[in-house]
Amino acid sequence: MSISKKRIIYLLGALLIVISLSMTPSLIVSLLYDEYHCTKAFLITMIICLLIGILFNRRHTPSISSIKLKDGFMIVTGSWLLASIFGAIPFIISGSITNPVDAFFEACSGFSTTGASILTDIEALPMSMLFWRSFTHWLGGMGIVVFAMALLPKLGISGQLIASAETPGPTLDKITPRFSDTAKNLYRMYILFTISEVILLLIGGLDLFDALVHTFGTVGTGGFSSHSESIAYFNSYYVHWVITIFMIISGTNFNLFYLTLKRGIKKLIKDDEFKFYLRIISLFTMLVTFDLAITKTEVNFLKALTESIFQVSSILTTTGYATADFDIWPTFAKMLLFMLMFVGACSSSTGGGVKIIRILVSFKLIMRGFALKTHENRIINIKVNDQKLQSDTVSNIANFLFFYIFLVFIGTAIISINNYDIMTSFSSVIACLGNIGPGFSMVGPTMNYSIFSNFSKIVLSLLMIAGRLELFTFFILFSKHFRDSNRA
Amino acid sequence: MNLNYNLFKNLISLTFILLSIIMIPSILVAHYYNEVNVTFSMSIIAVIYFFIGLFINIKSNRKSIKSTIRDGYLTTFFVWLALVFASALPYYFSNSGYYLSDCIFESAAGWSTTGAFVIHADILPKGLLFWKATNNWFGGIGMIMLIISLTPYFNISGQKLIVAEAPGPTLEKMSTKFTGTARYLYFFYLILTLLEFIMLKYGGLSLYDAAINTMSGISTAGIHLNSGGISYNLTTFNKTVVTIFTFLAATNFGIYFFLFKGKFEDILGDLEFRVYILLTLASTIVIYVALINSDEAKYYFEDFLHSISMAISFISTSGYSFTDYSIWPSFAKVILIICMFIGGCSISTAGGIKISRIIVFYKLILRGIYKRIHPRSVKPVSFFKKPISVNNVFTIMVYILLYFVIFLIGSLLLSLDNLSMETTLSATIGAMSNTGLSFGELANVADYSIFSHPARILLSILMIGGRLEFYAIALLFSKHFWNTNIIK
Repeated sequence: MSISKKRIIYLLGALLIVISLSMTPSLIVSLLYDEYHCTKAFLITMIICLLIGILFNRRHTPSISSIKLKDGFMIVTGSWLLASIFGAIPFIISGSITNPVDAFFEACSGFSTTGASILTDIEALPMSMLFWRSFTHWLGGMGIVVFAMALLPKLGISGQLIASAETPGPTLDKITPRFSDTAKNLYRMYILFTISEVILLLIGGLDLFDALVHTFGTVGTGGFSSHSESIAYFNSYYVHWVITIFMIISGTNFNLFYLTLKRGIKKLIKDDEFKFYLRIISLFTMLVTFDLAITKTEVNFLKALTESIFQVSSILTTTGYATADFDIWPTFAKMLLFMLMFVGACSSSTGGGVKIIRILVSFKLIMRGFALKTHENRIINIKVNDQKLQSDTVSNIANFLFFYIFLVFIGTAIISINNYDIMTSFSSVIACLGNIGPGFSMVGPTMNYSIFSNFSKIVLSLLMIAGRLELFTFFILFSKHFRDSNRA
Repeated sequence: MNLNYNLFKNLISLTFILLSIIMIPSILVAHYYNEVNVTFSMSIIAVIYFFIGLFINIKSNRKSIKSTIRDGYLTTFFVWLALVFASALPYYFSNSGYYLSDCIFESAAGWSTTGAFVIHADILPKGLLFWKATNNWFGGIGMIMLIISLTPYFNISGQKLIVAEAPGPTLEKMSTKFTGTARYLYFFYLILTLLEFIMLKYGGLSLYDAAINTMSGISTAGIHLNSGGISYNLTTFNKTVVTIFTFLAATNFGIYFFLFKGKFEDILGDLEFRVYILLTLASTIVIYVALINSDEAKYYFEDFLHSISMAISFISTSGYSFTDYSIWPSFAKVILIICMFIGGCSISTAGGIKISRIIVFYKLILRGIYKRIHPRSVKPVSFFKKPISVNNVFTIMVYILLYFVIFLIGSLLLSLDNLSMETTLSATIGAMSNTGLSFGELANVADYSIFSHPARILLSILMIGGRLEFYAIALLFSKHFWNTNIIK
């Protein structure tokens, strides 16, 4: 066995130990609610994970600092797959979800912070299982922060962030001298947001369990709820607005918060991506509100505004919570949400999707195309935050967008084998690839993914992970260049 | 705004003169079928156009028609605007009580070779239907192309005009002069038309039916003669003829040039041609598999005919409905949608994104994967072993991005009509790709009268935009275009 393989196994072993430990809170919840069959399920899974983890870890401890780029892709994709497989075991052992594919789908949806569910009756699930489901969001959201901020730069993508690996965002070295410090700071931020949302939700009258579950769903931009009606269950403006604000925060570039703390609010306000993000939210909220008001879908203006901003931020940040069944909204409002599904959150946030920065750059690219049509030989640079983008960077962004579009079409074709209507197939793929959760028609906010065949569920699960890992990290493993890196 | 008035005047005057000439067959048809109103109004309009053309022609100066690319776009835009409006008047003054928006829609559908209608072909007077088919035929290759092929003195600006009217990614030079290239194109077009006409006549169609089917078939428009689409009453022989000729019309006309010159190895070596055949075969096979799986009666041969004819109908963007495909399994429908986005070859009468761009699209994705493994590598995108210049790659990139942006924005505006999402999205792509036939409520019959009048105007713009590949229209919204001195 080569050194790199040993190293991969070693790291995956470490991950299993982490997963095993991360089940502790759920174990405690199961004890508190007297769900002993769940306690048993968690204990068994924890022991399995721990044993395999130690077995993997026992052999040899290679130095992590010398991880190659190629191994990095393997480790990251492997981590998400392993986490989803082992995260599914408690569901199966406790009998909460009997079909293993369903359990895998649910765990994938959790760790990829998608929030798509196959459960027809959420309330029927034991409390501790609900807790575990939402906790995977929190872990997944945190994981993506590590992945984006700490691990990948370490893996050799020299000091750049993975989500914005293609954009000249603030590089890690600029924030703090050492990457582990940056990671720590980002964790602090993540935990700070979590605690403040829990407190605010507790003030809003939620019990601790609901407050925790929905906080995990929000800050991880996941979307699992403990109620079938999602956030609409609480029927309180206060709760809706608190969750809206935290969704928007979680969809923002986490680096910006750190920079803001250090260098003042100016950095935040002047950031091109953040400005574009806020503009999209306000424009789309306004349009949806007017549409709801004019078509008299919602007579109360305040309610229309609350529902619009909630739904717009929920889809844009790829959270996927719902306060209303937007599938019965007028087509114009639905079309606006549909467009947002292609946009996604900011880079280096816990959200998924194409990411605002890429949309911004592609708009600038189109504008440049126009300018070049009038002046053929002119040299025009694309700038973000007053920094010139290299032509390589721009074409990487376009490559990503094309790959995304390509996957949406191919995915739709594969899912349509189930023979549900086109909108169902189409939106389920977009919702999973963009880590959103609810789509339209038969996967709308009041529906779920249980209608699909096992094969489709596996395809959708893989799309969720691929979308979470920015497509290339996942699909690179299937490339012939990956297996033989000398190939031209 | 400074426009090259010489070029503009010359082209506009020739456009009007040609319009009046090509009206003559329709007037004769109307006369033959005793449609007094149509005959009378069309004759008067033809005479007026002839004199308008003559008047402008006398006033214009034939010398020095040197022009910039910007003049090319602007002139093309105005010529097409004039074409659409001038051709709408025969419908409007036919004394049948049509709305102006409907007449514009019919005219735009005619010139853009979209097989869409708002006035049913059954109730449209025969003379006007013949006029629409005439528009199809001339719109297929482009009116400006025709003018260039007829008149020698556009030689210098010819290239710019052709690029503006039918800007395929590569315009192969068939002759040293652009007039020559345009002549070759029309020559092949004429031969294909004659062949199809003879075949259809041989297949037992009346002179009138054969003429309409030929003109709308070879231009990949696909006029629907009967409520169920033309095909229902056609014999299998005629269906096959129509299918074969739409396939040939969506082939790159450069292939016929090779054929003409006897360069057979060049035909087989043409990447776009190979991919075109491959895509057609692949989509036929997967549709066929889906059909025989869902077909309980096991009409294997009929299913095969249907799958190949529908695949060609959509990939060539002609939009004939040879069978009731609305009851097909979703998988087959999604494949048809993908075909519609792809479209035919460049320099053909088909619409859509075009296969040569799709090849670059696919290569860019592959390069994206390669670049992730070898971040510092320099790898050109090559097209049939010849590397494409960075500028060309960017132009194609921008076009594909623009296509999807216009698709989303067009759908958003159409959604104000509050039809279902599926209908809205498929109407937009149906109009943009010049297919006409689409899905949802537009399946089987491309009857766009379900849309409101403002939406019909929007659809007309999308159709013409799709035909001119958007730049000629989209550029008008660019500030660079109007103020050539803008630096940023």
